[in-house]
Amino acid sequence: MKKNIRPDGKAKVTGKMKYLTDLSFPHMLYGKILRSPYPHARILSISTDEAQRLPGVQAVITHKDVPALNGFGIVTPDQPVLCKDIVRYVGDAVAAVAADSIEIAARALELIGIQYEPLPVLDCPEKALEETAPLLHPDGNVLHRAGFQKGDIEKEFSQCAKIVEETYQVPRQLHAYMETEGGVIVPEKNGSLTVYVGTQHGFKDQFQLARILGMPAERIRIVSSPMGGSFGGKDELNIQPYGALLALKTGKPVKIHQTRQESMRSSIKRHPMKITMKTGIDREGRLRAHQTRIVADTGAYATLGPAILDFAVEHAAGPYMIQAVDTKGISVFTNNGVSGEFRGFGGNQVTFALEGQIDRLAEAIGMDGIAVRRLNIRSKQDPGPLGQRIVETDGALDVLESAAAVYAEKKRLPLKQDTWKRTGVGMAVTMHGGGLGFGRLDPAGGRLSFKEDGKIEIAFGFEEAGQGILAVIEAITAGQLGCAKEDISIIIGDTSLVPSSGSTTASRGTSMVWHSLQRLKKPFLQKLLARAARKTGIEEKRLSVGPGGIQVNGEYKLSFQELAAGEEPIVVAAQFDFPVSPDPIDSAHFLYTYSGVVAQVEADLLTGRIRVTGLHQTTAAGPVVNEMGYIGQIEGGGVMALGYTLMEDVTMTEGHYAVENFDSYLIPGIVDVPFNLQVRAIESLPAEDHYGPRGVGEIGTVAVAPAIASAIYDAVGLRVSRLPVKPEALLQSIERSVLYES
Amino acid sequence: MQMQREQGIAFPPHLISLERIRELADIEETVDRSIRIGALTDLETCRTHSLIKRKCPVLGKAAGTIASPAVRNRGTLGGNILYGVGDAIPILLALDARLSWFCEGGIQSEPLAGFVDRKEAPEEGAILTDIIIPSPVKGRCFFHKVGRREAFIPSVVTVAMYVEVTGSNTVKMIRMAVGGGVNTPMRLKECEEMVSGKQLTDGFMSGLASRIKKESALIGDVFASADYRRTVAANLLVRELQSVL
Repeated sequence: MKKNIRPDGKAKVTGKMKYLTDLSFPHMLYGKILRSPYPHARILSISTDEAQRLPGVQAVITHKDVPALNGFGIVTPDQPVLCKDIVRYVGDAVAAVAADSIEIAARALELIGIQYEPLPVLDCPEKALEETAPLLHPDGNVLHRAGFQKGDIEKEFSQCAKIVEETYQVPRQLHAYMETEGGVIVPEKNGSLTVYVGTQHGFKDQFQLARILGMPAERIRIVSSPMGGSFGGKDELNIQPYGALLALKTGKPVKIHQTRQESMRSSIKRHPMKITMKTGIDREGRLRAHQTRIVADTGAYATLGPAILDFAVEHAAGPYMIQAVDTKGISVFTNNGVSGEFRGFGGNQVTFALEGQIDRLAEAIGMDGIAVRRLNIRSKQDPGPLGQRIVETDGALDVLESAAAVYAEKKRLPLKQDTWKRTGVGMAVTMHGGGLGFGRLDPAGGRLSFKEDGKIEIAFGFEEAGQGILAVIEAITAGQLGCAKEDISIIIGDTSLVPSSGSTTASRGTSMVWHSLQRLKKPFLQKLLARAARKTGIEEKRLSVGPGGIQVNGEYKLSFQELAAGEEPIVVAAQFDFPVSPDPIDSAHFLYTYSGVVAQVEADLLTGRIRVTGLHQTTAAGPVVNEMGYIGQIEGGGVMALGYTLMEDVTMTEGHYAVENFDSYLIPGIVDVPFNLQVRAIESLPAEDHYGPRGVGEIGTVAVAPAIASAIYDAVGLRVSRLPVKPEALLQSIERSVLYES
Repeated sequence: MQMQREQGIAFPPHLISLERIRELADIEETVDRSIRIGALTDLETCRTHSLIKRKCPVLGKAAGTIASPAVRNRGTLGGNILYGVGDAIPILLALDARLSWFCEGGIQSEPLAGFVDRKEAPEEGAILTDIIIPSPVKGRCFFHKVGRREAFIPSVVTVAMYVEVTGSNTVKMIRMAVGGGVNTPMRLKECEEMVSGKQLTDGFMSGLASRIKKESALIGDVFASADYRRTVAANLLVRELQSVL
């Protein structure tokens, strides 16, 4: 059951899968978007005449063509669809063209004349916070502040035997999905609009587009799955508004599919952060005081910047019980791209810093890092990191003990005999909240139908971005109802067909599918079996659902087709909210997953290069729904985090991208990935737990960087505080200690 | 050319394919036991060809570090050289390779170093036909490429060396070459002179390391500094020389 081939597996492996960017329609036009060449400038004039006159150009649009709200953003619509007077980053859109071919559209962009007056560029949060800095938005350059305090921090610091203070810097990471943003927007004959563009929340796109187009939401249909990857990057709107405006203006389907360069320029990225932590430990090894200051570079617009900072603040003390905690974060507007949602959601950044602190503190008091963790880690009944009650599990200790055992085992391996190589082992643990958090609209739901043809149809508003939600829906539905997977048809990714399930983000998909089935199965099975009783004349309580149909005392009796024949469909729907803590603490999470990571590295003393030679991840997230999907999420997350640790950085200089494609922005290749990737799932939950399987979409990315950093220290004695780890930094530290002296 | 197109540089109006001239894509041992490699020999063939494996395995190893399997199936050794900063150049410099050009007046031959410094053909319209590795390759060969990841990556530093050592640890003949990134690959002539005829000792090595850093004069960029590149070049070459002892 568990090792099922995913429903979309064969089509993907054979290349037959049609993505939305593969679609074509008769009379389809091609759209292109003109983006600002300046990170910060005033628009003096826009002239589109020449572009309009180019043969083959069907429409050129500017801010004047936006009928209603000229802005988008999941929470605050502060990003202009088409800029009118100011551009705030080099991805800001100023005009767009629909033409008969991509080439004509590209040529037309060159013919659009825009005069700019460059303005001072705020290329880092420090500059943006200077008193004399120009204001990027009416409320200033601070997007959001967040904090958390408990205990008397000064008193606790005074009780500490050692205090470690360090500033950690983490880079701007690209989602690097294989399929860049794109799709086709089709104006329908009845005046409605169909948007075939991937997103992580179809109904949210529908809402945002309605607001921009001044159209009732019901007249906008979003078809949004499958996607060739998203990782949080396609949750926010990208090309949809331009395609929609051009389609409405021309009355023809418009396809936009960004090139990799266009994608890198305009897409959101993971927030670069500078995190300063001052943490104190007493003689016994107890963490007493933990002070964190986070500065996030949120770029030009809000999108989910505030929520990401809140998440980082919440996870600043991670799974540790510390007497006094003082966390303050600030998310600052700059002219550097736009930072937003990305797998891990602020947790990755702050966990790298936190686990780095634990390692340093352990060393400072001469204790083993694992012992310090064991002494301070949360136990089942402890409150969550913001003091809120959370779902009780042994996850934190379980992953720690698992990682500790693996760590000990790897440390026992004989050292590799090579004069110019050093090997090391490191570990880290983390906890990660699922769902959007307290005080945020976080509705979920699903619909279960027994169709006229005897199919059991399960419908969700979730999206398939490669993560395997289809396999999860199939496994949970079949498992909960008792039918075979062949009896099920799955509907997702089309607002005209599915119920609202909330976003496919925040590791909530698997969890919400399971919760939906808990609500749907009883009324559904009741109706199904009542009908079966009527049709067979057998007592209802002797009937049950089995593969292919209805069973009597475990014997196959009636096929689903026979049961459906001549009858109306049965439809059962559920609407509910993602579970939250009973304690009303804003943004606090309730359901957490836990991870313990052990990394092995090999450092080359001559080149400073690091190779990750082994990565072992233990995850505690409840029962595994689909084994291959689970492994895929954790291994894939691990590889993504390996890239974050060793090579990925969307370098920007003075507001301009220094990397524009995959020749200079590096993601790991298969040779960079350790052959030895291991995934261990801790599936057990307390007997009283009724929250089922948790999502694992993010947890595999969170604690990998600190584990690798710890292994690097073990190998060569360098304390890493900045990602990605540059071979240069390693070489400098080695040169000081090893080379030419041996 | 594909890279240039991606960067928005327009294709020339006409392209002439030389692919069908099979003589430009073969590898053979000549009468004087040199190895002649046709300029259109693809890199994958360079990597796997039995003659290269037997007579000059280091070149096969170097070819295997260039780009990805798909690119190696299409990219040629000649193309890598004409690119001016190709990863194959340092090892070919260390092997003292020569180039043959098809010119107006017939075939012209010159040391590879001549072209690498000039970065243009000996005359307009000249076509690179062959790369010749003087043989036999008697000494010890060494090649190492360092990139920002393990494979399918432009070079940050590439070093190559050819060395012949006598029984008493005396260097009889040495050629060292470095390249990487936008740096034009070059021979380290001063370092070679410093080492030639000398007996190698540890103290000597430390002096050589600083000389390599200086003479290589590698420049840096946003991804790797000049200092890093020079240090790595020195580390790799010195380590290799030490291992000869």
